[in-house]
Amino acid sequence: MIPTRARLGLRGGLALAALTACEPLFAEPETGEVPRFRESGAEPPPPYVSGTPLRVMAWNIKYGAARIPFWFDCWGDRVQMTRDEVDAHLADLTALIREVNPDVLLTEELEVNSRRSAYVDMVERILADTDLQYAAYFGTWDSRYIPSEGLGRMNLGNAIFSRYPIVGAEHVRQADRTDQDAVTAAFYIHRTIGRAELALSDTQHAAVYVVHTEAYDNDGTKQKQLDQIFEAVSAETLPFLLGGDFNELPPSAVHTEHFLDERETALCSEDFAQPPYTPEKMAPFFDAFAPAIPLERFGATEDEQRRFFTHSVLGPDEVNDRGEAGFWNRTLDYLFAGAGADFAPDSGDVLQVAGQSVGGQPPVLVSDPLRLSDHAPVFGLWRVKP
Amino acid sequence: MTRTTSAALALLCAAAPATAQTLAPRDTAHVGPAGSGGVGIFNPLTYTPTAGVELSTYPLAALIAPNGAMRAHLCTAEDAPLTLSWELGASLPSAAFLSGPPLGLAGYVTPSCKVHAAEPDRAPNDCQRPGAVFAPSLGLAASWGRDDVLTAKVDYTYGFLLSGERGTPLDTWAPLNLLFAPVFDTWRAHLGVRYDHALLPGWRVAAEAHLYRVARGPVPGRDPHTFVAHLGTDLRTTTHTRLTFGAMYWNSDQRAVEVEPDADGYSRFVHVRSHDFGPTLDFLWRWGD
Repeated sequence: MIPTRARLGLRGGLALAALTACEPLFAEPETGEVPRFRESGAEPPPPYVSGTPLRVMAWNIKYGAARIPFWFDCWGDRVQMTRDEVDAHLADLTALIREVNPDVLLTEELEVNSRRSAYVDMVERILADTDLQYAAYFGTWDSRYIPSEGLGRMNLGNAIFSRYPIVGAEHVRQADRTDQDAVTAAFYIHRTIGRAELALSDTQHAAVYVVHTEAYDNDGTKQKQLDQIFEAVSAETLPFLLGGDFNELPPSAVHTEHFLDERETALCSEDFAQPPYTPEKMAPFFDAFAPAIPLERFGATEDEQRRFFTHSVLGPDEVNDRGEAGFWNRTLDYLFAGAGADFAPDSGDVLQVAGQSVGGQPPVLVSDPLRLSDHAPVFGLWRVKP
Repeated sequence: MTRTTSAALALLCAAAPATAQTLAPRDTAHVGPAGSGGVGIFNPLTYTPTAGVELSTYPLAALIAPNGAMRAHLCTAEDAPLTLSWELGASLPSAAFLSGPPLGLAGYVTPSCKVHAAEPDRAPNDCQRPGAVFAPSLGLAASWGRDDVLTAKVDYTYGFLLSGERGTPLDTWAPLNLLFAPVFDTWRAHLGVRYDHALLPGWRVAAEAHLYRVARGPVPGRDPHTFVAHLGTDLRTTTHTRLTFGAMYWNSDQRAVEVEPDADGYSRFVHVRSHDFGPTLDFLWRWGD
């Protein structure tokens, strides 16, 4: 989830209005091309053998904060990290990425120049410390200074990493919230649908989409965004991969409210209270596209579904109001494929804990995803049909 | 003529633009005569209780950051229009961060720490609100000239941490970075030059250039230098008042980045310096000169 409240009182607004600068107070993403990045000294990618499954993973990395309880989590007060903390967390994140060794990685909540993450360029870091060589960055929250809780400069977004060249990248602006005052809305995150075109070979191209929808709205914004995503991907003509943090439960979810990581009484702010989920909004994705984890595998009971939970605000070393330690307690992250692409049967997996296999196959995971982010990575073997 | 009419005429005469005497230059090393003083909305409240010693404070800033200074005449050259003065000041700039609105900034530029307040044992070390800082300063000014005055100033401010942690720099607009540098950056050094020129008896123009340096701060360090330029003008409005306005420019490292594409269409983020522009406007009143 994203901390997104930006409060700016009249006093602050007047003070800021007296100053002008070449850099705007905030930048709103416009539909169109986004920057692409290449690891310095990138080697030619391994030859792609048509029909060979590609290892793909989607992961909300919580801007390299691991399990530090930030203020919007309502279980702590942290606002910033030191450079040492960010470096250590990114070393752990990239260690897991190297273990899983994906050909394509979709990340959400990645930062490139934010005060809270010590201004680390996480695109550059992931390119440098993994075998992924190309990236596209889709900025969604770009503000010169957010006067809320001392957040300060912010540049957060989603990214697509690939072992294969990214020959084009663009994003589409999503619907914004309408239930905020004008000043808060201006400093708020602006969601986008990110798309990158991969050149797997001279003759084989594929499209990859990364998304991260709204978490805290009470005006149907997330539902509008899910509709936009469905429409955009449905129109894709290339074989595609769609993944990310949908902030929505699967249509067959048994447990739909009162999660163990929610406070029983509001403490930090009602802005971060969890609105009711609308699992039925995910049904079209499962119906029209190939999910990495089909609903049949997801199961019909909470015990069965627990194996595929991907999110917990509380970490394993924290306890809720009732003294229960944090563990994955709901599914919000997904991978889908379509237009001539699907997943190898039973390859879809949620990387929840150390010691588990990845997609039912070796290697056994050494890294502990439960301690690396508030979201678990979702894995699959993506088959792009010739 | 009634007493009321006389009083009104006297007030009117006092308020009418006086053209005989040249408007005095500002921000020089000169200290006014005993009993003189002045105040502006954004300029400091000053008072000279005894010859050669001036006391001052910024009233608006004092609401959130108590401050005060004493400036004392050092010497005046006998055979040249040269005057030297020194200044000793002190402030509690972190007071603004220790409380919430209406007088504090906690919850806006510093954390509100609501979890810590409600459950002190849950995350005892997670409240990142900066601690209390006491910031004394020492400065020296030299002015050359009487009507057209060239003034050079140098000053240094150090923030002594009295409690808690220092906090990390705001990395925001240059004026705020400089104001709170003793809190977050440990110290601030300043070298400034101002030339104040009388165009007409009631009209002055001034140009200023300033160089600031702060401590480098936490990793990754930013460029600690800030350059400031100001052009302004003063217009006499009454015998004792003037209107001043102008424009100011700041050039500093606020950790901004830009995307720089290469010939192949791939990009990288490059750091760039930031430019801020702002108007200056104030209404000043002086007495006792």
